[in-house]
Amino acid sequence: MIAKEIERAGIPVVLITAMTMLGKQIGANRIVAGTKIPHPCGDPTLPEEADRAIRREIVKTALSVLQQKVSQPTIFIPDIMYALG
Amino acid sequence: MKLELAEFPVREVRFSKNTGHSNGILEIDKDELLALVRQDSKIISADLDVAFPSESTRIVNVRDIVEPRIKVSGSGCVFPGLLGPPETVGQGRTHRLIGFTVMASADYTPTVMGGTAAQNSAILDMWGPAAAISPFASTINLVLVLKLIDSISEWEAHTVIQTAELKIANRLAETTRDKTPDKIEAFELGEVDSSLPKVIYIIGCVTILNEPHSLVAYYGLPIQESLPLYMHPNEFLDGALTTDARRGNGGWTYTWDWQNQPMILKLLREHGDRLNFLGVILQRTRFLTEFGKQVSATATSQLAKLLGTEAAIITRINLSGNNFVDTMFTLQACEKKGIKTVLMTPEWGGTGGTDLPLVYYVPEASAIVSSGSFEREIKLPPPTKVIGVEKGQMARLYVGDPPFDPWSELTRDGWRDILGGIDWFGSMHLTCKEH
Repeated sequence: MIAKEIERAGIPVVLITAMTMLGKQIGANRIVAGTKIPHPCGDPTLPEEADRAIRREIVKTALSVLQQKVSQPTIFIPDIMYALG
Repeated sequence: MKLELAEFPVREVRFSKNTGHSNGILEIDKDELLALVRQDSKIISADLDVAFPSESTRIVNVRDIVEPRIKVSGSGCVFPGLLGPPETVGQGRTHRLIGFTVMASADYTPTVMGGTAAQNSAILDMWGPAAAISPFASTINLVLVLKLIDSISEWEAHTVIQTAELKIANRLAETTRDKTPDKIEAFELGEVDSSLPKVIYIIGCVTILNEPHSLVAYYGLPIQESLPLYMHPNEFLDGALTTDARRGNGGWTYTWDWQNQPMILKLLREHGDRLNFLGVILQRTRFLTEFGKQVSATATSQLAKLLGTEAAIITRINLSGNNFVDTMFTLQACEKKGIKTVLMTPEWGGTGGTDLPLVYYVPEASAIVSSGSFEREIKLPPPTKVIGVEKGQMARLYVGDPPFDPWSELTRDGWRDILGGIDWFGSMHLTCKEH
């Protein structure tokens, strides 16, 4: 909902969330799938390098998505393993 | 699997020289009962008090509630895994004291200072506006007031409180062992007319990993990374499920709620009459990824399908919006497999009732029963008696919250602050009309 209000003010937004369905239902336009609900941008249970690689990939995806035009709520999946435990 | 529940009503409670039950009068030898509890060196002080319906009494620091029951025949014991080995329960005969609870009110210094793992408690008023929304304002409550030693771990605090309340409840139920009950009700999932609709009951059961207690325990074992479990409804009646005894918030469930699960009792009573009750699926919810939630939904709906389910009733526990998504995915997965569903849940909606009532929905959720909103403001008048703290002491509901004076008038912004204030299973008697 915050994402929607910021966009209404003319600033493009990417919502990184582990609950992409929820983001879509609320009507956020650019949704990037994060890892887990308590930590959408990484996984502290993994070794440090793996966690860093995931974090990097998610943020990179978000930055590239920010530059894309979308006409409706769209989910983008970063190139990381889908399940992640 | 047939279980007979034998009822022993409690209409009067008196402190006396002996402990015993006859003609609805429960006599309690305070010293005998407290001696059972004081054996635990982690308890600094213990006392007992009684609260009666409609008197101007407020109880604070409440953590858990138990109905005294004992098994007089059949395998295992009541509260299997805790008061005895984890043998399968749900058959034979169980005695119960009805209209009466053992309520644990405990005070200890927390070591977890915030978040979902922290201790919490609720308020019970035996009279006034809060009494109308709590099932525990109409029972006679024996309140066990405990103070625990400092620097106790959260898990230890749970086990100390739980052990104490179960010991007291067990001793009181024991008074009925050789007595004749007022009434016996038998519960069994026998053969029925094959044309009756086959109904399963799915309980979305939020459990939280990496916390001292995951919120719900099965045969004494806190449920953690579990896929759905199939249970016979009678197992609930014998105390197969228990809760975290550190968290008495009205948004959680208590041990009493699982012993007296109203949906299970209703379905058992309707079995063979209006429906064919297949049993209960206990589904662990609040998975941390959408993927986990989908797997759980797939597993639960598949278990229901393999059992021959035609219709499913779905309820859940806990205010967590996260856990609500698991429940909605499960409902959707059932409908996709051709299982008709009804969801019963309380709503959000804000204090004015104008905010979003549900945090997530799926188009398949076309039959929803509301059990009320938990975000309504409630005003509590000052009591004449307070149980749970000493005169002049303050009480606290959540770690980090400002303490409040329990002798004063209170305004709370949600029914979760009231013991049993949120109706997860459809036990509340309040209703509403559109106008």
